[in-house]
Amino acid sequence: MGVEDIFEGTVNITEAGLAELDKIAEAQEKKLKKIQAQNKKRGGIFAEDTGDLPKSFERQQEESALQRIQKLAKDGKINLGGTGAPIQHNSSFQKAIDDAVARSTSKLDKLTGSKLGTDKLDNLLSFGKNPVGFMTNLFARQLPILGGILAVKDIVQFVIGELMKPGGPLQVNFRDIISTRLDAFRDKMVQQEILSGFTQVIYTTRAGTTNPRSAYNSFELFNNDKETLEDDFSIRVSKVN
Amino acid sequence: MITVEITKLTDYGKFRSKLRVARLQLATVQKQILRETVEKFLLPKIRTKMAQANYGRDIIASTIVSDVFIFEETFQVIIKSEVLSGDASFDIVRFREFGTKRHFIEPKDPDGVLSWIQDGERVYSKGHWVSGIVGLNLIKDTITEERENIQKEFQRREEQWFKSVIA
Repeated sequence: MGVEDIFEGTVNITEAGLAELDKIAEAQEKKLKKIQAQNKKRGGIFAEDTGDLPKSFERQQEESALQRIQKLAKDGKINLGGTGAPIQHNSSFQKAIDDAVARSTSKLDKLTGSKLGTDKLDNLLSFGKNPVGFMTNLFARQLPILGGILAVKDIVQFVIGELMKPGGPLQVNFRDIISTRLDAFRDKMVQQEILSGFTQVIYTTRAGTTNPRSAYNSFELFNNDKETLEDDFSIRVSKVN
Repeated sequence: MITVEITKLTDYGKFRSKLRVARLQLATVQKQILRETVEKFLLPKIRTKMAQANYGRDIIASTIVSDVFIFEETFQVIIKSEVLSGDASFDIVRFREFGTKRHFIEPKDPDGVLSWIQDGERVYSKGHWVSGIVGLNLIKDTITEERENIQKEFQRREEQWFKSVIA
């Protein structure tokens, strides 16, 4: 039996309310999907599916912003220019641009170490990228008459080939020059002797022992792997077009 | 106020799936929140008042939330208190809450006697009249007093849950 008392109240969030909210969201989603489909149909940038809201939505916003601007112009608060409007010279803006250009040019000159314009720097970069093409263009540009008479292109290619062959001043391969080689532990003479097989160096992973299990003889290595070494250190000629 | 920001088209789908989760959980969560809120904020106050009015420990301990019902826009929480007499013939809480009229008491066994200690001496009786007791209506009154606070607290927690699901 006992005593029973009822505490009554109202709920804030109801099932009906959530259902209504879902309905609204569904309707909105459908609307947006429809716009997206229309945009796809229109093609071009409108068809890009970036996952963002449809572009026409943004366009609507932009249009409304444009209308606001036009209203301001109508009220005489801003000047939009247009036909018949006076040309407005903004000297400070132009000056700022000129200064920026001057600054960037001087920086470029510092970078290249000489008075180079952007045009010259471009030339320099193109030479690094494609020397044959650069030289061909240069000759064709600077010596148009010769180019007409002689097969300048073939000549240039021959000259460039001569310059770039192994040992030439424009050789692009890796060059192993003994006089410039650095080794922290051996002098240049010893390095060359080891390389030529006149002396031997025993490498070991254990201090105080030359047990063949843990030691490597450079002389043996030289003899055994001579072919590999020659292949590794030989100058390879690669064709550059 | 809960604000849901939609910046991408896919946000609608996400929002709706969260909404579906909320709809599924709604009734269960509301029941749970109500029970917790009443047990935390209402029952301690009823029990304190009972203790102050010299209610028995059994009565205080037996005061519980027995049921919670959620309807379309309203809810009901049933607060129950029940302590039966030795032979289960009457409910003690009922007498304390609603009071009694003047009545005659006598031993159940015709050969037996009633006995109690009065002013340090044991006294006996074959039956006598007792005055009634005033009903205190503690449970009902406390519910009336705390209704608004509990309602606010419930709505706050309800909204907190909804935010956690939707956000």
